[in-house]
Amino acid sequence: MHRRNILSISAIVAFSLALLPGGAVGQQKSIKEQIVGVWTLVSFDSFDSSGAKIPNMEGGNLKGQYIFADNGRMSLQVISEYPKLASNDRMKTTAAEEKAIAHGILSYFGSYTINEADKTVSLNIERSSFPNQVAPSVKRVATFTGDELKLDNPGRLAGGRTVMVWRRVK
Amino acid sequence: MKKTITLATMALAVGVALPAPTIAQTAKELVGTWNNVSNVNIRQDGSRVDIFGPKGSGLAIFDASGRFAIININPETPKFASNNRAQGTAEENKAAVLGGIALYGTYTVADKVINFKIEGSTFPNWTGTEQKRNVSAFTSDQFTWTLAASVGGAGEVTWKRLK
Repeated sequence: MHRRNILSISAIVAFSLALLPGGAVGQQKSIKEQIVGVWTLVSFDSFDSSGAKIPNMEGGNLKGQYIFADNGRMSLQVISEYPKLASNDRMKTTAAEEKAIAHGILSYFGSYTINEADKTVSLNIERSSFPNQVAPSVKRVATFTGDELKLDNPGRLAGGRTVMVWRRVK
Repeated sequence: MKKTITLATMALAVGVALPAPTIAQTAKELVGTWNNVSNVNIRQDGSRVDIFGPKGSGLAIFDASGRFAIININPETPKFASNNRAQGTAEENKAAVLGGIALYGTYTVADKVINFKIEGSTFPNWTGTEQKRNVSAFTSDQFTWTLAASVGGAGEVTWKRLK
């Protein structure tokens, strides 16, 4: 009888565990497990060292994609809306077109590692559309909320910080 | 009769054992990350030019969900003296813009052709367009595509799989 009760309790515990909502299991996922995949841009904001929001991308209608591959490679594109090139030739640009593009894009690739303990992503930016950004180890603080990933860069090159919010692409 | 059956069985067994041909017939064959080997413009006189310089670099990611990201950058692009992306000189902006391209969106593969639906590109004339790349050589570790280049002439781009 005693043995039978233990078995019943075990069965109830097992059944209860199976009923736990996915969110409870999700909270136990590592940063690496959560970050791998394709993300679409929600917002990209820059702040000066006093915390005041400052303009960062000209052109408006900002769109972007960020892929974190499971083998540790990453690729980011953030592109605003600016006019098509009049020449239709990528190498035949006017000074105004060059300025509009330079002020309206951010694109880089490289590799990444995760520090699970302090919830940071370390980026090894191998190449960037902004060449000054190339660096072997820059930190982003990662926060996951629902389908969204916030990447906080407290070490903006020109001072202050940048905050990007991304939503997982289904 | 028995011998014939045995031979037929052996042939069948051998046939099954043969590796599947890798000819870029499905998107699955592209899934992964690829390092750029070369990005060449073949001019009408036959001369070849490295579009992103002799040390041109790039990464292509083909995700299993059907999304892609491609970046090519000339690593010899000079840094901005201001250290501020929005304060480049005219020369710095020009070098940075001509020295790189990035594009992303979705892709499909059929019959040695990659079809890109480009959602965003730093070359704005490509944004919102659908484009084909003919796969002219393909193994599981390296492949080459050709296209009418964004700079005129023919483009020939080779990628090597990253482990």
